[in-house]
Amino acid sequence: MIKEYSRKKCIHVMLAYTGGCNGCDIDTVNCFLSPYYDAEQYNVFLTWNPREADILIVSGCVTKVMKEPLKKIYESIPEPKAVVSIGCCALMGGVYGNIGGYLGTSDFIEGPVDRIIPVDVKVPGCPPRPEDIIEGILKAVPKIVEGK
Amino acid sequence: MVVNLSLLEFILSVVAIPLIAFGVSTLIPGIQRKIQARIQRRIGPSILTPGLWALFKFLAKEVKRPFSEMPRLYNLLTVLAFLIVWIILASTTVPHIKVVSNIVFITGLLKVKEMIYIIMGSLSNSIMGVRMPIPDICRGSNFKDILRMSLEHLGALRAYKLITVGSFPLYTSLVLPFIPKGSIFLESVVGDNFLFTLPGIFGAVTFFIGYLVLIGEYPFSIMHTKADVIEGPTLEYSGRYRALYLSFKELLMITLGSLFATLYLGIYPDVNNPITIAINFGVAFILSILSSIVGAYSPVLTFRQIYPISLYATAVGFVGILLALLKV
Repeated sequence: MIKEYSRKKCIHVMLAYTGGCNGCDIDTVNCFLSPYYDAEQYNVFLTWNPREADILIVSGCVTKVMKEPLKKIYESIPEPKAVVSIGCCALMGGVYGNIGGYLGTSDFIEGPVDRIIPVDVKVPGCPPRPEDIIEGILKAVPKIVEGK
Repeated sequence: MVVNLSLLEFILSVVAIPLIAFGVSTLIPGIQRKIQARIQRRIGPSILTPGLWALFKFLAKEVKRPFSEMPRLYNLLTVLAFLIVWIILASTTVPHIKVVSNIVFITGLLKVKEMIYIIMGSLSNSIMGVRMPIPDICRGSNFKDILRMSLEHLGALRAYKLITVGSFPLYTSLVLPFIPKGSIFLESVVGDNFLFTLPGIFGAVTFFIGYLVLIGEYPFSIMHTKADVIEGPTLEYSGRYRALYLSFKELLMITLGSLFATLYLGIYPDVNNPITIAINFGVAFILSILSSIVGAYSPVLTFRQIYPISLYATAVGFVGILLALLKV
């Protein structure tokens, strides 16, 4: 019982940027550190260390260079863990996926994210609103708490 | 001072007091985080979360094998660090046992604690660690033959610089209360209020700066600043070892506070006098609250800024030493 309660009361979120315009990252950091949204009041903390993290937020289209680092970051996170993929680029490649226009999709991206690592929650938007990102994180919490 | 403790009292002194201190210290990170959040006009997390619930959460998490040449030793360093801080706190509770409760023993252990960061950083080499991106090497740039340092190695290098320069103020201020007594034993300073003397005030200022450096709090958090090295030497700890590292940090804060109360107020945590234990913990809380207020308004200082601050703080400490020698 203490295990489940402590997992619910303390959630560390890691943000991994895999290529893109940084709009999603700005909104994610805004969720945690701005006085307006302040996700810390729900005991959700931002971290840059995968060993400390419970939830991995992935933003960006996953360029070819970032494929292996993303996999390694995912593998470095101790169980139980969950992945939240945020923004159009992470979900379907976004403008970077269609950068070739009528010539087809870009050769420089490996995304979307669910092709590379298993994704638990998807948050659409370009960029997604901070409220949606917080909701996405909260939807991933039951997986952390149950430890499955 | 003649103190005769029974075996039970001795065990209570060296086990129960540090245990209570550890229990109380789990509140400190939460209080610090809350204060910083309120200064930034946020509500902030609940007080129990960053210290207590984080501890339980990490205990229940998987232990990942760290990227290290010697993973078992790397993990065990957290146990060693925790034990060292425990011994320092325990040694202040028994000032009549001169072998352990003297300034040389305590300073030595604090140095070992600082050395542990260097060893941690040297042993670890994580995936987050390569500073120079691979495409730069492929392009044949000037960076081709330079030493590629991991984030932990960089953290270890910074820990080394902090040992050599940054910790001068703390050790100067630790020695100061012993100078008027002409003794190195804790027994000689106990019962004597040194803080409200002229050298005591100089010493307290120096101690506070040294305290900030030793616990790696802002503005002296260059060793594990989130801005570039993420966590530096302690990046790779996961599961119960991260919980141990967290416990070590919490216990260190209360130990240094207790050390201040013992040396500067002359009140050591006496097992037969619970009010002294409360005063020691109270002083530790006041110091950590002050450090979080300073941290909330401070940027991360680089070594170019830390060197002169350390120099000036040490100079203040030396003025205190001179005044103590002159018996002002």
